Amino acid sequence: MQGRRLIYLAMIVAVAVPMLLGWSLQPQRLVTAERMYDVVEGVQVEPGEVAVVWFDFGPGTMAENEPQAQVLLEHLFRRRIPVVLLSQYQQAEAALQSIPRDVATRLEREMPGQRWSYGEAWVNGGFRPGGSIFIQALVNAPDVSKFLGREVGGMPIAQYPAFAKIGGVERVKLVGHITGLTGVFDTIIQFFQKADYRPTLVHGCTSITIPEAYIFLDSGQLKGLLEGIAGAAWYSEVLKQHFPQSNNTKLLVVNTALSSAHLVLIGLIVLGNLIALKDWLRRRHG
Amino acid sequence: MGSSGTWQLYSVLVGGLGTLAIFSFLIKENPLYRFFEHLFIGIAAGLGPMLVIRDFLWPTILAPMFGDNVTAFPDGTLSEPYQPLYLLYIVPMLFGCLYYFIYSRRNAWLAKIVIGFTLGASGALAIRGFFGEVLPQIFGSFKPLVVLSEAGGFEIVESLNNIIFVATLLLVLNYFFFTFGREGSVQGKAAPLGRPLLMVCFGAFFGSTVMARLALLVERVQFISDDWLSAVRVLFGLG
Amino acid sequence: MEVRQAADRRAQIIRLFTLLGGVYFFAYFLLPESAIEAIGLKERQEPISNGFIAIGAMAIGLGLLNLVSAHGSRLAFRKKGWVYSLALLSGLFSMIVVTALQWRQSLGATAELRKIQVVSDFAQRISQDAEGQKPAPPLSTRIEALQRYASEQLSALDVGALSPGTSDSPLRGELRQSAQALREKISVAPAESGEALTPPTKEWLEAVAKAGSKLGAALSAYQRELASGTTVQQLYSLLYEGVFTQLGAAMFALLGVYIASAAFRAFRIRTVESALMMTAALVVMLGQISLGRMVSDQLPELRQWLLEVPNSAAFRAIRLGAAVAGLMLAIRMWLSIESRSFSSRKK
Repeated sequence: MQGRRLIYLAMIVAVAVPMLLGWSLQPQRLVTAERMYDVVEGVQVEPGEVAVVWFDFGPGTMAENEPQAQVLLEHLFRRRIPVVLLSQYQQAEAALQSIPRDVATRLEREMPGQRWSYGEAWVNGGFRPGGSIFIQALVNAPDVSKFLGREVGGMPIAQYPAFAKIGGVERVKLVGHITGLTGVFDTIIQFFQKADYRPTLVHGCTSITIPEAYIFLDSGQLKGLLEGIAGAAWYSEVLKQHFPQSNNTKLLVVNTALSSAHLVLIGLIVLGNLIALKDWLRRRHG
Repeated sequence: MGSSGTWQLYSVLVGGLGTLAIFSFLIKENPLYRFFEHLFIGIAAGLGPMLVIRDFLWPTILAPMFGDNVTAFPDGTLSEPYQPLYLLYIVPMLFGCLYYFIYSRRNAWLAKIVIGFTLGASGALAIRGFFGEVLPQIFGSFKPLVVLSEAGGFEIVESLNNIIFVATLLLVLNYFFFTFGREGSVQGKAAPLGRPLLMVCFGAFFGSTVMARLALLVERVQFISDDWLSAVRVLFGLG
Repeated sequence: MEVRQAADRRAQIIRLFTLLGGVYFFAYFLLPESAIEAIGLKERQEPISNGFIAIGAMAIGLGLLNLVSAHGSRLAFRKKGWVYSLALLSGLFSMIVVTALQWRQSLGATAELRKIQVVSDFAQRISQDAEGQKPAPPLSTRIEALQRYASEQLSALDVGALSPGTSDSPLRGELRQSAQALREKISVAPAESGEALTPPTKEWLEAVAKAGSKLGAALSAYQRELASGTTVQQLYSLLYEGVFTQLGAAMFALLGVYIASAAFRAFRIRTVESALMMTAALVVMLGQISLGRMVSDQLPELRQWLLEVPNSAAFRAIRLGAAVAGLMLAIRMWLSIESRSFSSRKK
């Protein structure tokens, strides 16, 4: 019992020390994040065309999904691609409101004189229950903005000029899905398509679902992937390479703390095996 | 600090205390942990239904039924004529109310009607979902075992990767194939080969799971060491 | 005998509804788009989908009823742990009340907003009706009504959101500018205001619609800012962000330390297979963290290969197997082959 508590303490210390000391190491290069950057960079929108980004995460997975949502939105905002934010998950309300606002504020501070305002850079469509039924209806709707109706503040989405003439789902040039819920991700994979339309889909997943997400990358159903915090950290590095003013220090500190915790955990596995080996040798020799 | 800032300060302080109370479970189960655990469940249970009403039932179902989506223009004309067909939404709503017969010992079968209906809808959707997801997966598995470059040269690395991919796929599929008796057959003999390959996959899963779980811990420690400690300092006039 | 017949009848009814539940989605899947359009399903797909979602949404009270009855009785009879039940019920009811109050507040704001939106909607409608020569009141009457209505709304704004007493903010500044822009637009009557829609009139209507939309957007943003400072909103944020989000994250964070303890005690290399699993796990872990490079520069490439080739292939096999099983289950469920529980008769 005491030993277990020591392990708990070791883990908490391993995480806390780099954070309190503000250590920040260069994140590991992840090819998937680079590919996703290129995909987002390659999206070209005409007036009226948009990106749809789903925030399907709540407190349970925000540790990984929030940084992913931030870097994806930062890139889309820098590229001035209008974003419709939606969620199938009722616990995402706080993320839907705070993340785009924070990213916009950060960019406005970075580039005085430029604005990323609500209704132009993004619109919050809010929580939409119904899962696959809702997505099927959305994909088949003749006009996405009319189908979505009002945003969370009560304004019809079509009243915002940037989102007034979306038309059919074909004019959604990028679909981003940030979630740790595989069932919810499945609804997008399975239903966000039509006979003549397959979206350019990028996905931010929690680490636990990375091995699963790779099968969709391989089949081409996914065009880009952010793998947990590490993926977000490398994406932020790529953003920084292209936009040197971009500030990702906080994310790098978190990523470093994560590395430190990994090392302690690997050490624990090795230690556990050494103890087991020692016991086995002792038993064997009497 | 303005009123909004004060609320925010309390919000962070309460959140930090709650986090520490939950973390106290690591020492041992205690009343403080259980209190906050129950509080969390209560809030989650109260939030869910309210959001369904606020974000779906009212704007999508009830407002059109009551004609709330119709606006009267200043000249007396209407933005759109009232659609009495929206009243038909009463039918699914009443039908959905059958769920509540689950509490009736005598008429519980009525709840099974709506449960059956929902299961039927989910079943049909799942059939569609299967093809939407699986067909590209199957097509993606047809990989050329001999990859030639544009110049006609043999791409050894890519070819090897594809061979490993297809072999792994077939061996693991075979491992889970229990439909026919397989003792003595080639299929039966090949089945054990799938196991080590599955172990590699499970190892990758374990490695990723570790990262996911540690990330959650990192986020909480960050909240405590960053936001909460700052709030405590402000509370005691140290910051 | 009679009881059994009644039970069979009920089971048949349930099976029939189970089949009916899937007909729409199966038809939508099976039929080509032209056929879906021809039978009118496409234009009705939105209300039909909403109807399906509404059926599920009506079940929202089930969980509440269960929780309230279980914990209410524990509290009422002061059974062991009643304090925890009190905590649960307080959380539940305070969230319901605060969310309801916040919703009421936002409905009020939406009503205000819609009055402004009418300016834009009406201007667009006048233009559309005149262009399409639809039966409508005379054009000049409508334009006059639009001007009158817009100035009434602007006056209402002057004594409401833009009244001198209210505190200033950038969003309020934008609202004032947008209001001024609309005021300027409506004050200049169209060059021709006869009964036919002339290009200048059309242009004027478009400009008014645009200014009205902009004012609506500015008002919406300002309303959000105002709402965020109200006690109701602060209470909602305290419960949602201060308690719910933080406790939820803390609950899940416990897993971070448990997995370390479990790895220490249970992750043992005893066989070749467990060694394979451990190696793959180490490669994946070290290959994605910053410190992995210290072990080897090749680790990230190895991790990438492991995830892309053996992992993807093995996982795809698992997923294909599960998907086929899921398909079978879905068909069985839809056709009520899986419905023994619906019938009281034992098979």
